[in-house]
Amino acid sequence: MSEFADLVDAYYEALYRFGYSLTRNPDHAADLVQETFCIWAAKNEQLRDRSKAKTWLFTTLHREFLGQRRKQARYSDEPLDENIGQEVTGNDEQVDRQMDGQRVVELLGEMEEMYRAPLALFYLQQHSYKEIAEILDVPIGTVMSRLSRGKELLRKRMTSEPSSAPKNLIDVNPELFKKHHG
Amino acid sequence: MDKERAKFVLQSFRPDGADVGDVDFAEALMLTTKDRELGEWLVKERAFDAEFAECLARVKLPQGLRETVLLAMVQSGSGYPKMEREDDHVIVAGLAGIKVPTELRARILESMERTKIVETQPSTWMRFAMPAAAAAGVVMAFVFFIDKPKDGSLADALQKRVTVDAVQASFVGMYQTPGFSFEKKGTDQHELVSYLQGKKLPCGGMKFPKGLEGMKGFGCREIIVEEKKGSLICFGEEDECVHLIIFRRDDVDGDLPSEDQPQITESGEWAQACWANDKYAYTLISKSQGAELKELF
Repeated sequence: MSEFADLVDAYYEALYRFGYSLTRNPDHAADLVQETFCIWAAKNEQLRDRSKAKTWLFTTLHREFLGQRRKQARYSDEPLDENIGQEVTGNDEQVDRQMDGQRVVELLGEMEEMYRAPLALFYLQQHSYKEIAEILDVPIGTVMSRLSRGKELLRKRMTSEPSSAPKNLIDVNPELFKKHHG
Repeated sequence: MDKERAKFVLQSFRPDGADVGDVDFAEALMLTTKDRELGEWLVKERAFDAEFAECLARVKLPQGLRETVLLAMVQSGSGYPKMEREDDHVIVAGLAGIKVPTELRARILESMERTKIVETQPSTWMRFAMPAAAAAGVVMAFVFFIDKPKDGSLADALQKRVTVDAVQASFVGMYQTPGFSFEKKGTDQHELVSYLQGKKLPCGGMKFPKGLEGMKGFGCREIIVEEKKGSLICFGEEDECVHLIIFRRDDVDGDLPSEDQPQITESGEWAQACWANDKYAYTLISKSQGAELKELF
């Protein structure tokens, strides 16, 4: 049982953010995460190689998302969830950060699915481009192409809506860069 | 690789720099050091990616998601007894959420390694009727190989001193066990000795045979034989180590020669040399011929 807890603790946050990037809906994202781990629990005995757990979980979540979307024919036509952005609480600084987080999810949600999934996996920083290829079951070259094109589209959307874009995401933020890269 | 190709490749370079060691990016990264424009582009690209990734990481999680997921896994009925009541599920999920101390596994392994009972492996030592590291073997050594102590009491000797043979057998047995590890590894002999001195273990005051002075260190650790604490310092490379074991002179029984005329013997694949001064008893062991060991003196 503690093995389940270890697995959940290791990956549920990143899985949720991946699911949220795909669905743009917190409830759907939570459902996807729950379903993914339940599938793991059901197949526990069959999945011997624990080193592949991360890739397996993300692959399964993505597959579940695609399966649910196929069932819901008008899923891609649904408007953005009205609840997005309304969970913000706290002081102004926290609100700004939450809006930034929400906005990036919105931006990803506005992308075509073929770009959305690789971009989300890339920016979650959990996977190399080779692992992304494995999760999405596409060739490595395809992942690189979609990341390249997807980032280009992402930047275009952001520069076309400067008032709603997250702060400092257009110009280089030297302090943030120093923080990440020394 | 041209500039455009390098940009294409580097757009897959993760924001946190995790791919810096990946050979697939090496050529493109090398190009950025030679092409100023490309280098500046990479700086901006990584800054953008880093900030976007940080924003995504700030997305709040629904409260209770973790517990909900754990509960659902339990309820999925995957080979576990069915829980009839809602309360049962809550308790099961709660227990599943108990975190094990992260250092527990390491502590368990360490305590296993430090156990005083060293099980000797069947080895060439045994074949030559040399006393084993086991208690029974050490007793035999005192009976058959050791001069009686000056005070005439064998019982006192059994309580107080170990034999060189027991030291050698203990080391070989310990070194060949799968769980063997060094407490400190490093190439600097002084650092290894300082570590042992910090643990108040006999180190010989850095007075090693001449041939060891120029050798790189490899690792060190405490060695315990019959409750006597000594030092183990290894020199050289992993596959060609020379092992020096040092005990306080008072802890080791028997007449031992001085360093300028060490007692060198061979047993199977091992050669060993032993000597002593007023303060310390030394045993030098390696998988080599006796003649090679002699060259170290």
